[in-house]
Amino acid sequence: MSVLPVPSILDDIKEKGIRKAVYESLDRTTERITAGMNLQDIREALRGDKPSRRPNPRLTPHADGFWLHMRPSYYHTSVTGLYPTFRLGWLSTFFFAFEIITGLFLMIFYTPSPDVAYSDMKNLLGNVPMGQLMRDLHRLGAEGMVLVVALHMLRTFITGSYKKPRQFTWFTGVILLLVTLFLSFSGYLLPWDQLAFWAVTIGTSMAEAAPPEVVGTNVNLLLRGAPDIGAGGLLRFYLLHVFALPLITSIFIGVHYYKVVLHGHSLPPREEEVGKDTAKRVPMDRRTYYIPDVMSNELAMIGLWGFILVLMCVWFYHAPLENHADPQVTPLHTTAPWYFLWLQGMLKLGDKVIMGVVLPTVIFGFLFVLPYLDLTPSRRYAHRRIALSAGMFTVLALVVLTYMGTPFYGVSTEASAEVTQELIPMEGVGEVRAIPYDELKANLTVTDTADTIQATDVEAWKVSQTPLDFDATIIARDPGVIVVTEDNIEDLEELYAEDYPALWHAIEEFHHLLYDEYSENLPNAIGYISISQKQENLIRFYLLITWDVPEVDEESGEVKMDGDEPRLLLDVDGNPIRSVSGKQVYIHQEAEWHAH
Amino acid sequence: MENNQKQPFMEFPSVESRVIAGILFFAGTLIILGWAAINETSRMEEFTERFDGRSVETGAILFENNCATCHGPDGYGQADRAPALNNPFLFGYDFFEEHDRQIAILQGEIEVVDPEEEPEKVAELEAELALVEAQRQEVYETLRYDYATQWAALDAQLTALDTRILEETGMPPTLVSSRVNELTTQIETLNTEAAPILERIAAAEAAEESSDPLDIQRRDEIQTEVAALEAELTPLSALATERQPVFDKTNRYRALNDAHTQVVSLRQQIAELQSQLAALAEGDTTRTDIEAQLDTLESELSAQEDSRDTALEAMVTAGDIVDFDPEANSRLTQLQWNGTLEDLIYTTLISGRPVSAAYWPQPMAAWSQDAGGPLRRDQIQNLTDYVLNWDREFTLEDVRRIQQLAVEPSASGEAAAEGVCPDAANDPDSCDIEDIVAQLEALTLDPNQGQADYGAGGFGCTSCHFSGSAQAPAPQGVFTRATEHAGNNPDLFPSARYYLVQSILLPGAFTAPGFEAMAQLMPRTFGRQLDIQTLGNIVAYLESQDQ
Repeated sequence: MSVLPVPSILDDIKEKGIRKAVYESLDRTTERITAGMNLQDIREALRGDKPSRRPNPRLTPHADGFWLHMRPSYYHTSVTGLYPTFRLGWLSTFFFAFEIITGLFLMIFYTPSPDVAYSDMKNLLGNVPMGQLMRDLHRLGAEGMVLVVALHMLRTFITGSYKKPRQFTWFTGVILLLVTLFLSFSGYLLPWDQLAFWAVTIGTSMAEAAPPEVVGTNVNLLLRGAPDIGAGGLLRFYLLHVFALPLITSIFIGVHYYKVVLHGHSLPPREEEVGKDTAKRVPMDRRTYYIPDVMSNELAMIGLWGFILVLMCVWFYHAPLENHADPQVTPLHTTAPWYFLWLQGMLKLGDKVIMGVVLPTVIFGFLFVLPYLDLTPSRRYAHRRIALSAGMFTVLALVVLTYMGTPFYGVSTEASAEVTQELIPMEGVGEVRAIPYDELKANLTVTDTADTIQATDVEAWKVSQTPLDFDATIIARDPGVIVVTEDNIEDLEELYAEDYPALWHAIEEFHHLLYDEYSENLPNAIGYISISQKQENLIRFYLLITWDVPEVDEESGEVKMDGDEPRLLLDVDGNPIRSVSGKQVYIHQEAEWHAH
Repeated sequence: MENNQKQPFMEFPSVESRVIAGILFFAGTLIILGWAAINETSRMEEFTERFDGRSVETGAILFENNCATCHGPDGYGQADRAPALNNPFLFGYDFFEEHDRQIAILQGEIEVVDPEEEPEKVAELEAELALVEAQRQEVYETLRYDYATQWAALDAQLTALDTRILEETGMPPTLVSSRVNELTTQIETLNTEAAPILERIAAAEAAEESSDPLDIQRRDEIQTEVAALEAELTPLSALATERQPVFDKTNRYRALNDAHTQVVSLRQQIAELQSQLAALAEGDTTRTDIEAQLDTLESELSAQEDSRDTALEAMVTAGDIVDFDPEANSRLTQLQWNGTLEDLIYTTLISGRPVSAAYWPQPMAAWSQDAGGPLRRDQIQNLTDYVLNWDREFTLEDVRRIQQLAVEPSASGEAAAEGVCPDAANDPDSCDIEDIVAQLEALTLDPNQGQADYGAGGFGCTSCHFSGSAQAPAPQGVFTRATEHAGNNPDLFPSARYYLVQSILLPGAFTAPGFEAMAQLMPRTFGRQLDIQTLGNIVAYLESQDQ
């Protein structure tokens, strides 16, 4: 007779006692959840014991459960170490999942519209608890994913794992590499800041170059939704980023992984005879079972990488956020994201169509068909000298091209603009914004050197034909001008070095730029710094450079030299022409650029 | 192949160590997250402060590039061009906050004390009250009348100019001007003498006869003499012309300064006498004497106060200074604005102030891209933050740098005379809608002109009333709606036209359903701005909107 009108656990308790009944009930539940392993089995697996009953209960989750049916029940012991996989394939999947989780959180607080996207960023960072952390994690994860996927491909190439029978696995892998790049790139635009806007403008302008013109124009229109990036472009990139590209990635991760399981992980090349693929024939003594070894390893790895990422984002890494996107103002030295810098470097070398469209297409096309071209059977390193050398050369070329993609190579800006950009960059901190407010405040009127301003310079300012944002009355208004000449650096050091280290650092850098780095382009230069109070908590920092205009070779763009001295451009009377250039920045007490 | 196989390198060789490591990492992650969560509130606050600070920095540059031309590089405005933004009235800064608080407290205390029971205490409190009130008066007068620094600077400028004149001419300035007069008279006399001679010579020339040689000799003499006199006159009169405005201006400042100094010292004397008087016993013989003195001083004081006001007015008229009334209403009160100051600045930047065309040479333009201007919304926000950052404890020095004050809406002169009901804003009853509707019947109305006025007439209608606007009902279909309202409430609106006219002139009377929250946005000033014909044209235009 049941205790209740219907059968229940109470009957069990009545029959076996509470302890035994509850244990058995738990045991059954566990077995159902794990699709085959009861409490005793789990305990044994965690202790590293052999399974105590037959058939092996650790195989049933693979056979009966959903989640593990796509994982092999055992691996060849030789592929479970750090070498040969370096866990890079697994790590790519980890990052993909990680990006989806953090990305979902960010989606809640984001609207893909130019009017609000940037203020959504402000809200996320300043008003949503842990919002900044989530954004940092998502951004760092994205950079990490690009890196890991690329390294994964490099590893596959080096160990020759793309060879028969894994050609198609490689093929899907190249698709995944491309999609990863585009995933990261499409996310770049979403904060709608200057960094995003211009990096993506540069990136998509390559699509515009695709020949013939009708294709380029239309691809560009499809991507941007208009000739220039605007509301339409942002929405398209958003949908690509949160829907289309993740969908494609999920599908191809499925195909890629199916092929990996189908063929097994390729063994280290030396463990196989040339031309043989023995990955699927695993001797009993070389089997490492998924449960418990690989699974515990993966869980520990999730713990490890989660820890590293959170640690980085709490203390060391913050996703950049520049000023609001401004289609009218191109920041000096705009670059593509780092993983496209090699492309930008190539663009500097030649024609936009060939370098920006044709060559990349050829490179990726070659990657796709590589396993079908390279039919040599051996995966041994010693037999693949040409392939490995070519691979190393490619990596080296990428590194060099990446350097060439940065503003350090082949970008010629006017020297004076370069100096002010170095000290007061259009985006980011720079030496001047890094000066704490208090140091500036203390230096509003520390020096009274108005008399030392060269009379010729004052004249140059007054008659300057260039539309300067400089006001000739500056001297009258701000008597506390700091004059930097070639010889007075010691005096300045005495005045500033000890009490105002950050200001001194900026002055020193100013001096270095004027008289070492750009001394040829800016002969007889004099630098002026004026610090004035604009509002109660707002200080204006004005940087001015005056110099004699040198004669420049039109072809090379280099300054003509007379021995060590640059040759000066002279006016009709035979006098050197004095030129002037300035830049200002306002610094607010609360802005605290120096601290971040 | 066996000997090629090595044991794999595992990060954590046994299952147990992997489990332990995993748990430790997981726990470590939680600890870091916990630490971050504890600090999150202050981090968010710091971020917002930094972000807003940088917004001010960006706003400063935008201000310099877009606004400084009219509002001045430091926001003090420009005379007859644009009002000061760096200005206590904009922020509702109260110079008398502390005084008024003390006065209120003392008045409260006096009320509580029973004067019959504690007459000394009442007297004590009243003396204290008088003291605070005197202090308040002093602050007020300083802000309004104290131009001592400016006068001293001008005086120094004049002295320097005079020294220069003395050096250059060897004469004191007074002599220079009398010498200029003397020379001018001499030149005039000579010219008068020359006139008939020249006539005679001209007549002779016309008749082709030779002129009298004496005449020619005399003419040449006069010409030489005049040239010599003019050579002396030109530099002198240039100096005199240069000096005159400075001299006049200094005099205007001096008049104000003298009167103000007098007022201050008279006040002091009066206070001293009053305290003497209070110290004397009732019935003392010297009392009448002091009282007589007091009367004289007080009449003198009021005379000085009058002359001080006259001097101030002269300066305002001459454009030397702005008429700074420290007790004037804040800008928000002036405009009867219900939102915050930030809202006022932000929305003014967005849509401009078309109405200001009535009193500035150039109206405040619409700056937002939404309204056809050059700036994005985020830049408008930067500018707003920058302007708001001028809020502070304003000092006399700040006040003296103001070049131009904002115009009070009710003070815009000419339009008032023509308006259909000029005082509608303050006194809605003064506006008889039925009468205006009747007046409209007699006029020929032009809906096309009305449409033009509605859009670009400087009344700013389309700033809010456009299709799809969230602030105000769209003009499209307004007549249909008006007809409905009139049909539903014949008591309130005798006709659809009545409804339209009332909505324009007395926006507070009835708010269109769905726009209750925006009811305060519609200006109450159209009764003053619109003459009957313009109003009629606009109404005719609206009546054509019956889709």
